[in-house]
Amino acid sequence: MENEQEIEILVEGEGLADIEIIRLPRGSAARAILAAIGVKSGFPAEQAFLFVEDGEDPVDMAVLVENMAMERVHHVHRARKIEVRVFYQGRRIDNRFSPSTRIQRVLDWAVGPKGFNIDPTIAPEMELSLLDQKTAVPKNAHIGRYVRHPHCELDLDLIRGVVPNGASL
Amino acid sequence: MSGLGPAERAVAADLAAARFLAGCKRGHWRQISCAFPLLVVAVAAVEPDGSSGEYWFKFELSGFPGTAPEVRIWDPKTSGPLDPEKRPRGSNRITEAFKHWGNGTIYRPWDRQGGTHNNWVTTHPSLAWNPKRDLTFILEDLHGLLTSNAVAHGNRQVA
Repeated sequence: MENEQEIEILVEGEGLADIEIIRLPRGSAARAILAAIGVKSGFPAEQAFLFVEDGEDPVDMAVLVENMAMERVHHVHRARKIEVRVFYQGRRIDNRFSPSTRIQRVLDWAVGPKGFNIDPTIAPEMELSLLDQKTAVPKNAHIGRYVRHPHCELDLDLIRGVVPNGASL
Repeated sequence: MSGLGPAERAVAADLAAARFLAGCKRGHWRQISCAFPLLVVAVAAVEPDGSSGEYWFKFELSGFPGTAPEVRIWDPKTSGPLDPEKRPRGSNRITEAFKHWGNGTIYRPWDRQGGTHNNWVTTHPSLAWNPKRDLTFILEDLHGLLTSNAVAHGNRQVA
């Protein structure tokens, strides 16, 4: 539980399997988040960047944690951008996203007019899976979760989601 | 959490976990009440016309997490299951999940009743309940279904 002397920050990041709560003393600079995640994930903090969820640019490392957007989830990663390739019915589309981008945003792009322009009646049933996997990845997961520096690429399949009514469409 | 039974402790742990709190911060859901074994959570939705909405869900959590939650779409005004006419609309995926069926619960493999239906535990393992799952697994699935209209709406806007 948070107390008056500390701040709780929800963080995803490179090397983490899921979102975590980081607790830091008030007055800590944002770079302390990098250090905390770096220790968990095994990389030097000075090599990493801090992002706000779905944000494109890194956060200023000198900002105090109590002055950060605490209502948002953050992300720590050594890559500044990730090259995303999405495959569907023999076609491929490419784009670059920050590691803090949620799968949902990649999905919105992939089914939208700048992606595969999926029929609006079908689009709500589409999901993304890791390449050659059949299971949808969580829509709120940050893409950086699936990429380990210095590898900065992520391949995904656009798949039709399961409708459990006895048939898989 | 001393003095609580194992199921109640497991529920409390899930409600304090980062995954659940992240959904609250994102505005994806909010806890309405928790009086074990009952939990009520409101989940954000996007209606077929693109407008924002919200639906309440009542979880019965006896034996959690060894026993799957039993989840009903709930009407706070009547303190009963939401009238089928008022349930979420959209793609086949949405209408199937929230339809009124024999057991009156959400028609998904993670539900206590749904899991024993149609051999879904075997045929849909990625959506079936197991004791390693948490409440957020269900909430993420519900939120994903309830907001899936946003994709279609976005496409319709530019079509």
